[in-house]
Amino acid sequence: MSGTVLDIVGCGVLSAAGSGLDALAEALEGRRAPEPDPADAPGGEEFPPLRVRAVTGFRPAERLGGKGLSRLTRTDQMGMVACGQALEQLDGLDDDARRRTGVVLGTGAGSVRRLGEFTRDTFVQERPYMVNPSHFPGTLMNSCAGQTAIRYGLTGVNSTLSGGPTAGLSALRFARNALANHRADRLLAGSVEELSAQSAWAWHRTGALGRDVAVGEGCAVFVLERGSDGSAGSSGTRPLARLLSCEAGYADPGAGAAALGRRLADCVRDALESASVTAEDVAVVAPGAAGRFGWAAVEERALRSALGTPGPRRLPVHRVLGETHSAGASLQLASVLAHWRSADTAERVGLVTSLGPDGQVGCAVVERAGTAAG
Amino acid sequence: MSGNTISEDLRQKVHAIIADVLEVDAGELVETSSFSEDFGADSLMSIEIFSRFERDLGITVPQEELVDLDDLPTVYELVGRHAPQEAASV
Repeated sequence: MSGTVLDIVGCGVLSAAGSGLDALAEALEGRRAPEPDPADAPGGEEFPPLRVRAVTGFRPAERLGGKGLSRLTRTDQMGMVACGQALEQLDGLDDDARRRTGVVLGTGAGSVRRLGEFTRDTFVQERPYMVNPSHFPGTLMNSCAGQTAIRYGLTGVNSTLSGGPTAGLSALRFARNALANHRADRLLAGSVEELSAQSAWAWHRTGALGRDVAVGEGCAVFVLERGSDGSAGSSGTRPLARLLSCEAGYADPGAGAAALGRRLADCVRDALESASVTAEDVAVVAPGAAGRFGWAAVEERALRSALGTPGPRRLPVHRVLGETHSAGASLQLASVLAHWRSADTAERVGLVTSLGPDGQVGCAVVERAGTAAG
Repeated sequence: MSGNTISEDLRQKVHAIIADVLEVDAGELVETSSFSEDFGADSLMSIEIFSRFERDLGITVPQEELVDLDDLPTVYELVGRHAPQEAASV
Protein backbone atom coordinates (compact mmCIF):
# COMPACT_ATOMS: atom_id res chain seq x y z
CA MET A 1 0.00 0.00 0.00
CA SER A 2 2.93 2.26 -0.66
CA GLY A 3 1.94 5.84 -1.26
CA THR A 4 -1.27 5.85 0.78
CA VAL A 5 -1.21 8.97 2.92
CA LEU A 6 -3.65 9.20 5.80
CA ASP A 7 -4.82 12.22 7.72
CA ILE A 8 -4.70 12.00 11.50
CA VAL A 9 -7.76 14.07 12.37
CA GLY A 10 -8.13 13.23 16.05
CA CYS A 11 -6.14 11.80 18.93
CA GLY A 12 -7.18 10.46 22.31
CA VAL A 13 -4.39 9.77 24.76
CA LEU A 14 -4.17 8.61 28.37
CA SER A 15 -0.75 8.36 29.94
CA ALA A 16 1.19 8.92 33.13
CA ALA A 17 1.29 12.56 32.02
CA GLY A 18 -2.50 12.71 32.27
CA SER A 19 -5.24 13.01 29.70
CA GLY A 20 -4.73 14.54 26.26
CA LEU A 21 -1.87 15.83 24.12
CA ASP A 22 -1.32 19.08 26.04
CA ALA A 23 -0.58 17.25 29.30
CA LEU A 24 1.80 14.97 27.41
CA ALA A 25 3.55 17.94 25.80
CA GLU A 26 4.08 19.57 29.19
CA ALA A 27 5.50 16.37 30.65
CA LEU A 28 7.86 15.83 27.70
CA GLU A 29 9.16 19.37 28.07
CA GLY A 30 9.65 18.90 31.79
CA ARG A 31 7.08 21.55 32.65
CA ARG A 32 4.97 18.96 34.42
CA ALA A 33 6.76 16.60 36.79
CA PRO A 34 5.84 12.94 36.46
CA GLU A 35 3.40 11.91 39.17
CA PRO A 36 4.90 9.99 42.07
CA ASP A 37 4.23 6.28 42.08
CA PRO A 38 0.64 5.76 43.19
CA ALA A 39 0.29 4.43 46.72
CA ASP A 40 -2.36 2.04 45.53
CA ALA A 41 -1.51 0.81 42.06
CA PRO A 42 -4.47 -0.48 40.01
CA GLY A 43 -6.12 -3.66 41.22
CA GLY A 44 -5.15 -3.50 44.88
CA GLU A 45 -2.86 -6.53 44.65
CA GLU A 46 0.70 -6.58 45.85
CA PHE A 47 3.18 -5.20 43.30
CA PRO A 48 6.80 -6.30 42.99
CA PRO A 49 9.53 -3.87 44.08
CA LEU A 50 9.54 -1.93 40.82
CA ARG A 51 8.74 1.65 39.97
CA VAL A 52 5.30 1.89 38.39
CA ARG A 53 3.63 4.72 36.56
CA ALA A 54 -0.15 4.59 36.23
CA VAL A 55 -2.31 6.89 34.12
CA THR A 56 -2.62 10.12 36.08
CA GLY A 57 -6.11 11.20 37.09
CA PHE A 58 -7.88 8.31 35.38
CA ARG A 59 -11.51 8.45 36.52
CA PRO A 60 -13.44 6.30 34.04
CA ALA A 61 -16.78 6.68 35.85
CA GLU A 62 -16.79 10.38 34.96
CA ARG A 63 -16.49 9.56 31.26
CA LEU A 64 -18.31 6.24 31.01
CA GLY A 65 -20.81 6.32 33.89
CA GLY A 66 -20.67 3.97 36.85
CA LYS A 67 -23.13 1.38 35.58
CA GLY A 68 -21.48 -1.77 34.32
CA LEU A 69 -18.00 -0.41 34.99
CA SER A 70 -16.99 -3.32 37.23
CA ARG A 71 -17.47 -5.73 34.36
CA LEU A 72 -15.13 -3.78 32.10
CA THR A 73 -11.41 -4.33 32.43
CA ARG A 74 -9.06 -1.41 32.89
CA THR A 75 -7.93 -2.10 29.31
CA ASP A 76 -11.54 -1.77 28.11
CA GLN A 77 -12.02 1.42 30.12
CA MET A 78 -8.85 3.08 28.84
CA GLY A 79 -9.62 2.19 25.24
CA MET A 80 -13.18 3.49 25.55
CA VAL A 81 -12.16 6.75 27.21
CA ALA A 82 -9.35 7.41 24.72
CA CYS A 83 -11.60 6.66 21.73
CA GLY A 84 -14.30 8.91 23.21
CA GLN A 85 -11.76 11.68 23.57
CA ALA A 86 -10.64 11.25 19.94
CA LEU A 87 -14.22 11.20 18.63
CA GLU A 88 -15.00 14.45 20.44
CA GLN A 89 -12.49 16.17 18.18
CA LEU A 90 -14.59 15.42 15.11
CA ASP A 91 -17.52 17.54 14.10
CA GLY A 92 -19.90 14.70 14.92
CA LEU A 93 -20.67 11.51 13.03
CA ASP A 94 -24.13 10.68 11.72
CA ASP A 95 -25.46 7.12 11.54
CA ASP A 96 -24.13 6.60 8.04
CA ALA A 97 -20.67 7.81 9.04
CA ARG A 98 -20.69 5.49 12.08
CA ARG A 99 -21.41 2.55 9.78
CA ARG A 100 -18.23 3.40 7.87
CA THR A 101 -16.14 4.00 11.01
CA GLY A 102 -14.30 1.22 12.79
CA VAL A 103 -11.87 0.42 15.58
CA VAL A 104 -8.44 -1.20 15.20
CA LEU A 105 -6.50 -1.76 18.40
CA GLY A 106 -3.15 -3.28 19.21
CA THR A 107 -2.65 -5.12 22.50
CA GLY A 108 -0.25 -7.56 24.09
CA ALA A 109 -2.75 -10.11 25.38
CA GLY A 110 -5.75 -7.99 26.33
CA SER A 111 -6.21 -7.46 30.05
CA VAL A 112 -3.49 -9.54 31.70
CA ARG A 113 -5.06 -8.85 35.08
CA ARG A 114 -8.49 -10.17 34.10
CA LEU A 115 -6.91 -13.21 32.44
CA GLY A 116 -4.92 -13.88 35.61
CA GLU A 117 -7.90 -13.46 37.94
CA PHE A 118 -10.20 -15.61 35.85
CA THR A 119 -7.65 -18.39 35.45
CA ARG A 120 -6.78 -18.26 39.15
CA ASP A 121 -10.45 -18.64 40.07
CA THR A 122 -10.65 -21.90 38.15
CA PHE A 123 -8.03 -23.27 40.55
CA VAL A 124 -8.94 -21.72 43.89
CA GLN A 125 -12.74 -21.88 43.81
CA GLU A 126 -14.48 -24.97 45.15
CA ARG A 127 -15.26 -26.11 41.61
CA PRO A 128 -13.28 -25.05 38.51
CA TYR A 129 -16.41 -23.64 36.86
CA MET A 130 -17.25 -21.37 39.79
CA VAL A 131 -15.79 -18.38 38.03
CA ASN A 132 -17.56 -15.06 37.59
CA PRO A 133 -19.12 -15.42 34.13
CA SER A 134 -19.37 -11.66 33.73
CA HIS A 135 -15.60 -11.53 33.83
CA PHE A 136 -15.22 -13.88 30.88
CA PRO A 137 -15.63 -11.32 28.05
CA GLY A 138 -12.80 -9.28 29.54
CA THR A 139 -10.41 -12.21 29.21
CA LEU A 140 -10.68 -11.96 25.43
CA MET A 141 -8.14 -9.94 23.53
CA ASN A 142 -10.73 -8.17 21.41
CA SER A 143 -12.89 -7.11 24.34
CA CYS A 144 -11.64 -3.52 24.26
CA ALA A 145 -12.18 -2.94 20.52
CA GLY A 146 -15.58 -4.64 20.72
CA GLN A 147 -16.81 -2.78 23.79
CA THR A 148 -15.61 0.52 22.33
CA ALA A 149 -17.46 -0.06 19.07
CA ILE A 150 -20.65 -0.98 20.94
CA ARG A 151 -20.48 2.09 23.16
CA TYR A 152 -20.04 4.57 20.31
CA GLY A 153 -22.12 2.71 17.72
CA LEU A 154 -19.21 2.23 15.32
CA THR A 155 -20.14 -0.70 13.11
CA GLY A 156 -17.30 -0.55 10.59
CA VAL A 157 -14.15 -2.70 10.59
CA ASN A 158 -13.35 -3.99 14.09
CA SER A 159 -9.99 -5.65 14.53
CA THR A 160 -7.55 -6.44 17.28
CA LEU A 161 -3.86 -7.04 16.65
CA SER A 162 -1.74 -8.82 19.18
CA GLY A 163 1.88 -7.89 19.54
CA GLY A 164 4.53 -6.64 21.86
CA PRO A 165 5.95 -3.14 21.64
CA THR A 166 5.20 -2.97 17.90
CA ALA A 167 1.44 -3.62 18.40
CA GLY A 168 0.52 0.04 17.88
CA LEU A 169 2.39 0.11 14.57
CA SER A 170 0.69 -3.11 13.50
CA ALA A 171 -2.66 -1.45 14.18
CA LEU A 172 -1.71 1.66 12.19
CA ARG A 173 -0.51 -0.46 9.30
CA PHE A 174 -3.63 -2.62 9.33
CA ALA A 175 -5.82 0.49 9.45
CA ARG A 176 -3.87 2.02 6.59
CA ASN A 177 -4.44 -1.03 4.41
CA ALA A 178 -8.13 -1.18 5.32
CA LEU A 179 -8.63 2.49 4.45
CA ALA A 180 -6.59 2.22 1.24
CA ASN A 181 -8.86 -0.63 0.16
CA HIS A 182 -11.98 1.35 1.08
CA ARG A 183 -13.05 -1.15 3.75
CA ALA A 184 -13.91 1.86 5.90
CA ASP A 185 -13.94 5.65 5.66
CA ARG A 186 -12.50 6.34 9.08
CA LEU A 187 -10.71 4.19 11.66
CA LEU A 188 -9.78 4.72 15.26
CA ALA A 189 -6.41 3.02 15.43
CA GLY A 190 -4.00 2.74 18.31
CA SER A 191 -3.01 0.49 21.15
CA VAL A 192 -3.54 0.01 24.85
CA GLU A 193 -1.71 -1.52 27.81
CA GLU A 194 -2.97 -1.83 31.36
CA LEU A 195 -0.73 -1.70 34.43
CA SER A 196 -1.40 -4.64 36.73
CA ALA A 197 0.36 -6.54 39.46
CA GLN A 198 0.26 -9.60 37.22
CA SER A 199 2.19 -7.98 34.36
CA ALA A 200 4.49 -6.08 36.74
CA TRP A 201 5.55 -9.38 38.28
CA ALA A 202 6.29 -10.68 34.78
CA TRP A 203 8.58 -7.69 34.17
CA HIS A 204 10.20 -8.23 37.55
CA ARG A 205 10.78 -11.95 37.18
CA THR A 206 12.08 -11.81 33.59
CA GLY A 207 14.44 -8.93 34.26
CA ALA A 208 13.51 -7.52 30.87
CA LEU A 209 13.05 -3.97 32.08
CA GLY A 210 15.77 -1.38 31.54
CA ARG A 211 17.58 0.04 34.55
CA ASP A 212 15.59 2.73 36.40
CA VAL A 213 12.66 2.37 34.00
CA ALA A 214 9.15 2.33 35.50
CA VAL A 215 6.45 -0.07 34.35
CA GLY A 216 3.81 2.11 32.77
CA GLU A 217 0.47 1.92 31.06
CA GLY A 218 -1.67 3.98 28.76
CA CYS A 219 -3.58 4.20 25.55
CA ALA A 220 -3.32 6.34 22.44
CA VAL A 221 -5.84 6.24 19.61
CA PHE A 222 -5.76 8.16 16.35
CA VAL A 223 -8.65 8.93 14.02
CA LEU A 224 -7.38 8.11 10.54
CA GLU A 225 -8.97 9.10 7.25
CA ARG A 226 -7.81 8.78 3.67
CA GLY A 227 -5.58 11.69 2.78
CA SER A 228 -7.08 14.87 1.49
CA ASP A 229 -5.52 18.03 0.12
CA GLY A 230 -4.34 18.89 3.63
CA SER A 231 -7.22 21.20 4.44
CA ALA A 232 -9.81 18.94 6.00
CA GLY A 233 -10.49 15.21 6.08
CA SER A 234 -13.71 13.54 4.99
CA SER A 235 -15.22 14.27 8.40
CA GLY A 236 -14.51 17.94 7.79
CA THR A 237 -11.93 18.08 10.56
CA ARG A 238 -8.54 19.71 10.07
CA PRO A 239 -5.77 17.12 10.40
CA LEU A 240 -3.31 17.16 13.30
CA ALA A 241 -0.73 15.41 11.13
CA ARG A 242 -0.40 13.05 8.20
CA LEU A 243 0.69 9.44 8.37
CA LEU A 244 3.01 9.17 5.37
CA SER A 245 4.08 5.57 5.74
CA CYS A 246 4.13 2.67 8.15
CA GLU A 247 6.37 -0.36 7.67
CA ALA A 248 6.81 -3.60 9.59
CA GLY A 249 9.35 -6.38 9.41
CA TYR A 250 10.71 -9.43 11.12
CA ALA A 251 14.11 -10.89 11.82
CA ASP A 252 14.76 -14.25 13.43
CA PRO A 253 15.61 -13.41 17.04
CA GLY A 254 17.87 -16.48 17.02
CA ALA A 255 20.13 -14.61 14.59
CA GLY A 256 21.00 -12.17 17.35
CA ALA A 257 20.22 -8.61 18.32
CA ALA A 258 22.44 -7.12 15.63
CA ALA A 259 20.34 -8.79 12.91
CA LEU A 260 17.22 -7.26 14.43
CA GLY A 261 18.88 -3.87 14.43
CA ARG A 262 19.81 -4.22 10.77
CA ARG A 263 16.23 -5.22 9.96
CA LEU A 264 14.95 -2.12 11.75
CA ALA A 265 17.39 0.10 9.85
CA ASP A 266 16.14 -1.39 6.56
CA CYS A 267 12.57 -0.88 7.71
CA VAL A 268 13.28 2.82 8.38
CA ARG A 269 14.90 3.24 4.94
CA ASP A 270 11.88 1.58 3.29
CA ALA A 271 9.46 3.79 5.22
CA LEU A 272 11.31 6.98 4.30
CA GLU A 273 11.35 5.98 0.64
CA SER A 274 7.68 5.08 0.73
CA ALA A 275 6.97 8.48 2.35
CA SER A 276 9.09 10.26 -0.27
CA VAL A 277 11.23 11.95 2.38
CA THR A 278 14.96 11.80 3.07
CA ALA A 279 16.80 11.02 6.28
CA GLU A 280 17.69 14.72 6.51
CA ASP A 281 13.98 15.63 6.50
CA VAL A 282 13.41 13.73 9.76
CA ALA A 283 13.46 16.29 12.56
CA VAL A 284 12.39 14.20 15.53
CA VAL A 285 12.41 10.51 16.48
CA ALA A 286 10.46 8.77 19.22
CA PRO A 287 12.37 5.52 19.83
CA GLY A 288 10.59 2.61 21.44
CA ALA A 289 13.17 0.24 22.88
CA ALA A 290 14.64 2.50 25.57
CA GLY A 291 12.62 0.78 28.29
CA ARG A 292 14.01 -2.68 27.64
CA PHE A 293 17.22 -4.01 29.02
CA GLY A 294 19.80 -4.29 26.24
CA TRP A 295 17.60 -3.12 23.39
CA ALA A 296 18.09 0.64 23.52
CA ALA A 297 21.59 0.32 22.06
CA VAL A 298 20.36 -1.95 19.27
CA GLU A 299 17.69 0.55 18.27
CA GLU A 300 20.09 3.48 18.53
CA ARG A 301 22.59 1.78 16.20
CA ALA A 302 19.80 1.17 13.70
CA LEU A 303 18.75 4.83 13.87
CA ARG A 304 22.33 6.03 13.33
CA SER A 305 22.70 3.65 10.41
CA ALA A 306 19.52 4.91 8.73
CA LEU A 307 19.60 8.60 9.73
CA GLY A 308 23.29 9.39 10.31
CA THR A 309 25.13 10.54 13.41
CA PRO A 310 24.07 12.16 15.64
CA GLY A 311 20.84 12.49 13.66
CA PRO A 312 17.61 14.16 14.70
CA ARG A 313 16.37 14.95 18.18
CA ARG A 314 15.19 11.95 20.26
CA LEU A 315 12.11 12.29 22.41
CA PRO A 316 12.64 10.70 25.87
CA VAL A 317 9.23 9.04 25.98
CA HIS A 318 10.18 6.26 28.40
CA ARG A 319 11.62 8.68 30.91
CA VAL A 320 8.22 10.31 31.16
CA LEU A 321 5.78 7.43 30.65
CA GLY A 322 7.74 4.33 31.64
CA GLU A 323 7.75 1.09 29.64
CA THR A 324 4.23 0.78 28.26
CA HIS A 325 4.70 -2.41 26.22
CA SER A 326 1.94 -2.77 23.62
CA ALA A 327 0.76 0.83 24.10
CA GLY A 328 4.32 2.01 23.48
CA ALA A 329 4.37 2.76 19.75
CA SER A 330 1.04 4.62 19.90
CA LEU A 331 2.19 6.67 22.87
CA GLN A 332 5.40 7.45 20.97
CA LEU A 333 3.36 8.75 18.04
CA ALA A 334 1.20 10.76 20.43
CA SER A 335 4.42 12.14 21.92
CA VAL A 336 5.55 13.36 18.50
CA LEU A 337 2.18 15.07 17.97
CA ALA A 338 2.36 16.55 21.47
CA HIS A 339 5.92 17.78 20.87
CA TRP A 340 4.79 19.53 17.68
CA ARG A 341 2.28 21.58 19.62
CA SER A 342 5.08 23.78 20.83
CA ALA A 343 8.18 22.81 18.85
CA ASP A 344 10.10 24.87 16.33
CA THR A 345 7.90 25.19 13.26
CA ALA A 346 10.77 24.18 11.01
CA GLU A 347 10.24 20.58 12.12
CA ARG A 348 8.30 18.79 9.43
CA VAL A 349 8.81 15.03 9.63
CA GLY A 350 8.74 12.70 12.62
CA LEU A 351 9.67 9.05 12.96
CA VAL A 352 8.43 6.41 15.41
CA THR A 353 10.44 3.20 15.73
CA SER A 354 9.94 0.03 17.67
CA LEU A 355 11.41 -3.42 18.00
CA GLY A 356 10.65 -6.37 20.21
CA PRO A 357 12.68 -9.33 21.43
CA ASP A 358 10.31 -11.58 19.46
CA GLY A 359 11.88 -10.30 16.23
CA GLN A 360 9.22 -7.78 15.25
CA VAL A 361 10.37 -4.38 14.04
CA GLY A 362 8.36 -1.45 12.74
CA CYS A 363 8.28 2.26 12.14
CA ALA A 364 5.97 5.05 11.05
CA VAL A 365 6.71 8.34 9.31
CA VAL A 366 4.46 11.30 10.08
CA GLU A 367 4.33 14.82 8.76
CA ARG A 368 3.29 17.82 10.77
CA ALA A 369 0.02 19.39 9.65
CA GLY A 370 0.34 22.32 7.31
CA THR A 371 3.99 21.67 6.43
CA ALA A 372 3.64 19.52 3.31
CA ALA A 373 6.65 19.90 1.04
CA GLY A 374 6.27 21.37 -2.42
CA MET B 1 -43.93 -28.09 52.61
CA SER B 2 -44.61 -25.79 49.74
CA GLY B 3 -41.87 -25.87 47.09
CA ASN B 4 -41.69 -22.14 46.64
CA THR B 5 -41.47 -21.05 50.26
CA ILE B 6 -38.08 -19.86 51.35
CA SER B 7 -36.93 -18.46 54.65
CA GLU B 8 -36.76 -14.72 55.16
CA ASP B 9 -33.02 -14.99 55.69
CA LEU B 10 -32.48 -16.78 52.38
CA ARG B 11 -34.86 -14.38 50.65
CA GLN B 12 -32.73 -11.46 51.83
CA LYS B 13 -29.52 -13.10 50.67
CA VAL B 14 -31.00 -13.81 47.24
CA HIS B 15 -32.28 -10.24 47.02
CA ALA B 16 -28.86 -8.86 47.93
CA ILE B 17 -27.07 -10.98 45.33
CA ILE B 18 -29.42 -9.87 42.58
CA ALA B 19 -29.17 -6.20 43.54
CA ASP B 20 -25.39 -6.56 43.55
CA VAL B 21 -25.25 -8.17 40.11
CA LEU B 22 -27.69 -5.64 38.65
CA GLU B 23 -25.76 -2.81 40.33
CA VAL B 24 -28.84 -1.23 41.91
CA ASP B 25 -29.65 -0.18 45.47
CA ALA B 26 -31.48 -2.91 47.35
CA GLY B 27 -34.44 -0.57 47.84
CA GLU B 28 -34.92 -0.14 44.09
CA LEU B 29 -35.34 -3.85 43.49
CA VAL B 30 -38.95 -4.79 44.26
CA GLU B 31 -41.19 -7.76 43.48
CA THR B 32 -42.66 -6.06 40.44
CA SER B 33 -39.30 -4.99 38.95
CA SER B 34 -38.32 -6.34 35.55
CA PHE B 35 -34.58 -7.04 35.59
CA SER B 36 -34.25 -6.40 31.86
CA GLU B 37 -36.63 -3.49 31.37
CA ASP B 38 -35.95 -1.63 34.61
CA PHE B 39 -32.25 -2.36 35.09
CA GLY B 40 -30.92 -3.34 31.65
CA ALA B 41 -30.10 -6.93 32.63
CA ASP B 42 -28.84 -9.27 29.94
CA SER B 43 -28.45 -13.04 29.68
CA LEU B 44 -24.90 -12.91 31.02
CA MET B 45 -26.23 -11.35 34.21
CA SER B 46 -28.67 -14.26 34.60
CA ILE B 47 -25.73 -16.63 34.39
CA GLU B 48 -23.85 -14.51 36.90
CA ILE B 49 -26.81 -14.67 39.30
CA PHE B 50 -26.99 -18.48 39.03
CA SER B 51 -23.24 -18.64 39.49
CA ARG B 52 -23.43 -16.51 42.64
CA PHE B 53 -26.21 -18.73 44.07
CA GLU B 54 -23.91 -21.72 43.66
CA ARG B 55 -20.79 -19.95 44.90
CA ASP B 56 -22.24 -17.98 47.80
CA LEU B 57 -25.28 -20.02 48.86
CA GLY B 58 -24.44 -23.55 47.73
CA ILE B 59 -27.65 -23.68 45.66
CA THR B 60 -27.29 -25.40 42.31
CA VAL B 61 -30.02 -24.91 39.74
CA PRO B 62 -29.96 -27.77 37.19
CA GLN B 63 -28.86 -26.94 33.65
CA GLU B 64 -32.32 -27.51 32.15
CA GLU B 65 -33.82 -24.89 34.45
CA LEU B 66 -31.30 -22.16 33.67
CA VAL B 67 -33.62 -19.58 32.17
CA ASP B 68 -33.31 -15.86 31.67
CA LEU B 69 -34.31 -14.45 35.04
CA ASP B 70 -36.45 -11.36 34.94
CA ASP B 71 -38.28 -10.94 38.24
CA LEU B 72 -37.96 -11.75 41.94
CA PRO B 73 -40.97 -14.10 42.30
CA THR B 74 -39.51 -16.39 39.60
CA VAL B 75 -36.15 -16.36 41.34
CA TYR B 76 -37.61 -17.09 44.80
CA GLU B 77 -39.61 -19.95 43.31
CA LEU B 78 -36.54 -21.47 41.63
CA VAL B 79 -34.43 -21.07 44.75
CA GLY B 80 -37.22 -22.57 46.87
CA ARG B 81 -37.25 -25.69 44.70
CA HIS B 82 -33.50 -26.20 44.73
CA ALA B 83 -32.30 -24.91 48.09
CA PRO B 84 -31.42 -27.54 50.67
CA GLN B 85 -34.49 -28.07 52.89
CA GLU B 86 -32.97 -26.62 56.05
CA ALA B 87 -32.07 -23.40 54.23
CA ALA B 88 -35.43 -23.07 52.55
CA SER B 89 -37.69 -23.83 55.50
CA VAL B 90 -39.44 -20.99 57.28
